[in-house]
Amino acid sequence: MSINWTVCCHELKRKWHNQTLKLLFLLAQFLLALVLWNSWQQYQQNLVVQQSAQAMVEEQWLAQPDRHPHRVAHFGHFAFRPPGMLSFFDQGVNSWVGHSVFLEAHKQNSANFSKDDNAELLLRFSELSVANTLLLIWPLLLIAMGFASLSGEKDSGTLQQLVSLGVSFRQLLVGKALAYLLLSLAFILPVFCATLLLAAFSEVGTDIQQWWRCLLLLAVYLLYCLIWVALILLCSLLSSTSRQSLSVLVTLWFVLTVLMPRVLADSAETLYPHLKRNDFTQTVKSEVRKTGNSHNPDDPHFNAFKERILAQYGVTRVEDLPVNYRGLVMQEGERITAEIYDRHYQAQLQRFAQQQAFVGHFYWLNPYLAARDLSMALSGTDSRHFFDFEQQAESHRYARIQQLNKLHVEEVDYHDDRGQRLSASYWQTFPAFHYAFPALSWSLSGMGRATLSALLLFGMLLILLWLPTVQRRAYVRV
Amino acid sequence: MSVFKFELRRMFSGKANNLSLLVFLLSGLLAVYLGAFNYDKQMQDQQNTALLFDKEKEQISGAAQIPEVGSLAYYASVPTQWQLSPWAALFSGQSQYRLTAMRLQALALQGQIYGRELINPARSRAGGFDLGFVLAYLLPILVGIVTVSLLSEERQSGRWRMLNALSAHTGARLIIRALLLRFALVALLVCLLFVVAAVVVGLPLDGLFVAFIGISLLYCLLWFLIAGLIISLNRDSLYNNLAFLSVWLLLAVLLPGLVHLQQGRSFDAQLPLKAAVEQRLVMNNGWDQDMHQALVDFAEHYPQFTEQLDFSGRFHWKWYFAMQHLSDQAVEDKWQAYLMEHQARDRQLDKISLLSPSLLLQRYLYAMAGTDSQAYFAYLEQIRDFHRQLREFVYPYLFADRQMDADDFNAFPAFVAKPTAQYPLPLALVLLLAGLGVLLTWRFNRLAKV
Repeated sequence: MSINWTVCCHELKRKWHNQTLKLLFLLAQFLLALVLWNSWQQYQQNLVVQQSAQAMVEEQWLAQPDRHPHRVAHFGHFAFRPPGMLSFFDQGVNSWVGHSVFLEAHKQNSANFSKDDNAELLLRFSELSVANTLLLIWPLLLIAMGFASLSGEKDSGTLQQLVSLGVSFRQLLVGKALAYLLLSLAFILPVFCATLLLAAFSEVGTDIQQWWRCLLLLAVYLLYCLIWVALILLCSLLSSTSRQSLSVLVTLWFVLTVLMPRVLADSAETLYPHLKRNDFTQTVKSEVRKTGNSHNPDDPHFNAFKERILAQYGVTRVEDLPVNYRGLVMQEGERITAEIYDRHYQAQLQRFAQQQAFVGHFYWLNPYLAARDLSMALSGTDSRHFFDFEQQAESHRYARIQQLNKLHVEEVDYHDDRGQRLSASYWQTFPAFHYAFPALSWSLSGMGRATLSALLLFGMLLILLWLPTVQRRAYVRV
Repeated sequence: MSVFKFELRRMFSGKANNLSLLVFLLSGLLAVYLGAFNYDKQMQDQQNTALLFDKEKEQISGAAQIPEVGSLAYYASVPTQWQLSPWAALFSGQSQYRLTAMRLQALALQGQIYGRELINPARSRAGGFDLGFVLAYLLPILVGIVTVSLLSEERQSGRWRMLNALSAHTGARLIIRALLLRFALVALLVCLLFVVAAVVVGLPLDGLFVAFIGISLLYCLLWFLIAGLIISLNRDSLYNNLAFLSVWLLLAVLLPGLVHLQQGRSFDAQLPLKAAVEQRLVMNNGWDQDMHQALVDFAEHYPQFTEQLDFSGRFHWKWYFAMQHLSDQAVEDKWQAYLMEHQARDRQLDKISLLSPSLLLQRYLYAMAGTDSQAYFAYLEQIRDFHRQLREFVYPYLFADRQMDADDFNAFPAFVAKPTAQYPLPLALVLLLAGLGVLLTWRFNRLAKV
């Protein structure tokens, strides 16, 4: 153990004496601090905007005069997506998705108004967030520090000396690995402490699950660092010169973090194409039209519906019904559109899930992909969480509109339907929209593959490093 | 000639060189293929919406009676097209996440104009992959790999001192020659990609084609100059590699990220949302207000209908469409503010992108391909014009309570797409190049004296 420790200390001392590396380390720390500070402010601002906007539309809803319930349904409502509590750590897909949905009768709207102006220029590497800095920039710094850790000893011939002094190669390996692990800890712990501190000051502090999320995030990033340390040591061990080690590692970094994620995501979309907006809208529309068009007097579905209702109440004319038939038609029409929309929406989500699954096939090859997706899932900022918001907004819309339709059925007379108004007090008791943030277990469901793949990759790298045949390569000069 | 052969052999001897050349070429080809696929889908979308509308029109004009004008205008979703040249396949810009075939009704524009394409946000998060990405980000890396170790290799092998012993400039001249050869090779590769793209996507071989290649090569040259500067620092190859990578990281990744932070802080992204919410409120409240007053207000914008405002009954389409227009007018100032904000954002970006060549290149490429935000806003302006045309086509029938006959109906306005591309002169790029060139000449002159 003591030899391991000596090796580790020696390695750390050497990094400490390298002015360039020290400067880069400090600059990266500064960048992290800047980015965290900025995203925290953004988060707070988003929270204020969301809360005030939601309160404003709630007020507008309550301030409506006495109206016909169907007018109220067309007046509609807005659902605003609260920023996830850890979105200041990892913004995930938040820049590309809308954060408000307009809820109205007959029509399901997608979330709209995202903040991606000039995204094609400025967001090619996503926004600068803590997560992105740790995912992209820290590995590169680790490479700059560690590419020569073993190959350098070979270049200078100190490796043979060390071995002749009785230091086993494994001790050397463990000592160096320990040094880079400590460096990684020194790099990520400050920002995690700051994150925890900020979280404690926000409403996160009251929620035990958020603390678990933070801890798991730390675990994910530590594992990510460990994988990179193992990769760097392995390359350094196998390379004949430090220069080769550096170029192999940088190429690896580039392929894993820059090239592969883009190529995979774009290929996934080509392999499992989803519908474009116009096609999606049109598919829903034409199916609704085919199933039942409440505006068409000869529509078979609604004629059957009418017969059923008349039979149910034992009357022959809709005028004789004890309830408002027009309201019933509204209810039925809403049910049909909601069902059809949901079916197509789920199919679309299915295609997105297929695209994601395709990318997921490569988790075990690419630690960046696994760590990125785990980080987004834990922060509640991946596409799945966004679609969850859209679905909650849609079910809120459906409930709200059907409640209004129920008022239409029960409180508005069939005769002179349109001329009547209901007291505003009827809908002032409707529950406000409140987004229920998913539980940790839901956030993590489906992330098993990413977790296992990352662990598997780490295990494979460890085994490789531990193999005597691989270790022997260190002594051979090619 | 033998020197040339020698240089070529030296260049293709490194495994790293060959591999990176191959990766670059394959990435470029894949980007072209994927771009062509997405572009085809966009074109398909534009055609489908147009076909659908034609079919609907046919159905209506074939019917015994043309429906009431109000309901006709209510249900007609007229297709529009963002005119995208085949260059949009290679430099997709905003066309991937904006609607390129927005369907338009004569209802309030504010309820429609913010419509968006359905995207998988996970793909955008990954960063997007088009030829623009390959050129702006991959090309510099390739340049770095084939160049930055040139001098340090010579030095390590001891040739450098020997060469310099021959005459003062031999060494520097050799390095410059090697750089030029590598530039020629990379340039050839870039041209090859463009030619393949031209065949796959069907690009005309015109002046624009030359301009695209020209700008890409200027950008390539710029990175060669940066590499040259790093070489001229006369450090070992490890240092050079790390320095080049750091410069790339700073210019291509960190600077755009910082600009994004800065723009996010200095501009209000909520303007469109505010406009849309308020427009809805105005429109819905209209149902509870005096309808005749609304029509009088409308007649202030369209005095020609002042005599035709009256109607009987509880509802009339003329009020409905007038109210839609009034709600648009109510948030006109917000819309104008949004446009101003966009212009201000773009002007700021124009200045800041001087700091980052990769931003600069992409701005040129997307502007020329007609897929940048300016082009998109030009499309929105076309939509606004067409929306007015659409409304004003319907108004006379509504206000005069006149039915449309088949001829009237056939005169229904159709959207005519206009090009949105712009062709800025790459002055900033040339200036940057000139600056770097002067710096580099000075450095190499000094180097020769070392």
